[in-house]
Amino acid sequence: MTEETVQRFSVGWRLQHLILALGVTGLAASGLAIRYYATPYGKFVLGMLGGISACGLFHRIFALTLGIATIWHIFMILFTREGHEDFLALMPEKGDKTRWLKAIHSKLTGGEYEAEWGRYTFGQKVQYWMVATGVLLMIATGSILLFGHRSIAFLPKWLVDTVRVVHGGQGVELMAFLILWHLYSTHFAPGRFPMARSWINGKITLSELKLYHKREFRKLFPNRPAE
Amino acid sequence: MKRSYCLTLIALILLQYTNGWAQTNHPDAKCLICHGKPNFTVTIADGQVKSLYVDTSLVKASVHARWSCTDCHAVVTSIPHPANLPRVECTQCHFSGNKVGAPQGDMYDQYRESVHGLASSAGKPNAPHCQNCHGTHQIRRHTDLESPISRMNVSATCGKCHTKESSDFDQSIHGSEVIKGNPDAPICTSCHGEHEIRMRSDPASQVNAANIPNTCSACHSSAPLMTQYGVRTTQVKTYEDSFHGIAIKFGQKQAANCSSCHGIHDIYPASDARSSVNVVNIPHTCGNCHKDANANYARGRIHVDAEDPEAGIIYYIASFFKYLTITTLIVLILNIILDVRRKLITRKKPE
Repeated sequence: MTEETVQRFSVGWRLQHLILALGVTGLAASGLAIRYYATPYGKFVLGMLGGISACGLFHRIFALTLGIATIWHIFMILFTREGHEDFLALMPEKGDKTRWLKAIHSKLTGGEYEAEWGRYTFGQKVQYWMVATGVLLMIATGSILLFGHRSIAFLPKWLVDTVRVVHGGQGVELMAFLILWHLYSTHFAPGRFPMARSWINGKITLSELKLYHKREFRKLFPNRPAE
Repeated sequence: MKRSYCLTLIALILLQYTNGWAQTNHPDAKCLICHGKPNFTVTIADGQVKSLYVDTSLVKASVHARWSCTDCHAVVTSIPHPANLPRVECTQCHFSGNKVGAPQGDMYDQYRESVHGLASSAGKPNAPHCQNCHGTHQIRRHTDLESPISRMNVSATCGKCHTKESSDFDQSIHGSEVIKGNPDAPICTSCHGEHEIRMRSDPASQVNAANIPNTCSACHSSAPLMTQYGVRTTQVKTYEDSFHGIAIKFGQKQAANCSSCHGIHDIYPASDARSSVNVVNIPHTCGNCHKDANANYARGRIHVDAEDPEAGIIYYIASFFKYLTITTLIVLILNIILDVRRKLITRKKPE
């Protein structure tokens, strides 16, 4: 018997997430190859793509993909009810900090505390804001680097050099963050492996909703037992 | 009568030993009958007067002192010899495997494949041969200060044909150190090679755009050498990690190499107003490739090493991201371990 599910993400969100994932993956793959060009990985990717200029071109194409996803995301937040509500749901709320600290304490001590989260867990909110600010920083610095030496005609060289360091540093940080937290928690964590399918079909089972987003469950199904 | 005969005989014997090669049975004696006269000249086609005098003292001081004229001028088999003798072929003795003690090595083959050798093979009249650099009758070892190929004289020797390059080099930081007698300073052959000098466009040339960083770094990446002169060795690494350096490594020869910015023969310290990398000249230097270059190009370090505290804000930001990423990795890996541990504990607990 198929378990009952609820629609969590619309087609728009999922398509946007897919474009974002493609863009970020492509940017990370090509960006790391450029940054670590002398490593076996860098040599392999640059060899596959046909050199550093070609790799740079791919990096810019993936940057365009990321830009499209970002503009679409901002448009949804500003001009659609769904986007606006989801954005508000991602805002930190009262009690988040206490629940999060209790959850960490429980994790460290092997306790049984299960925080009752709303539509998004505090961890998901942190992930969103880290990625959102990280991506905006990458777009801002990347736009300066996109124009290469022409940027130096308007900005002092030391600032462009600083921007390059920020872009590279933030890129690596963002990648470590996405792989070790986002991909782990949604795909590889015990109980989730091989993946939470909501990024494909947009649905979540009622048992998962109850387990991970108890307050959201109560809100959607006020007449059903949450325990 | 008998006494006067004896005296004449003694006088002739003494003369034999005291009046030089021209008056003796030395194999060169016949040659020096003419070539030993300082005013022995010939007027060549363009009206120039060419001296045919051979200063025997120079020959005696040369590495070829033990050889006679015809060992080199082998075509001369009788006197008078024909005018316009062909150029002496040094390869008569100087070939790999020779038995006469001439230096062994690859230099003969290298010369043949060099820009000079190829020009010679093509019959170009101005192509330099061995004699143009090593000299003719006065050939000396390169360690001999009188040799045209001694460190001190190489620039002048090359400058016989490459006038401007030699002049620029002599004024440069490298050339001025050579003139001071600094044994560390590079000479023409340090960068261009000796017998194997090739066209700059030849990928095998030491001064080909793709090879310039390696050629310069032969000295400029040596910490013991550069420390003596207060020159950083990190310049090589920072160049290699820059856009220019990476592009060169991947075969984009139009990307700037060391000489694109620092100059070729006319390299000066950055503090020198004549230097192309002097802060005042940087916009013009960068402008050779970047048409929109302006004063902003000079606002900041050129060779940026993000791991060097002297890079200022760049160093601090790079360090910030380094430690942020390390912290992120530690925290998130710890999170995974604790998460898995907790899930395992929960699973083991009885219902």
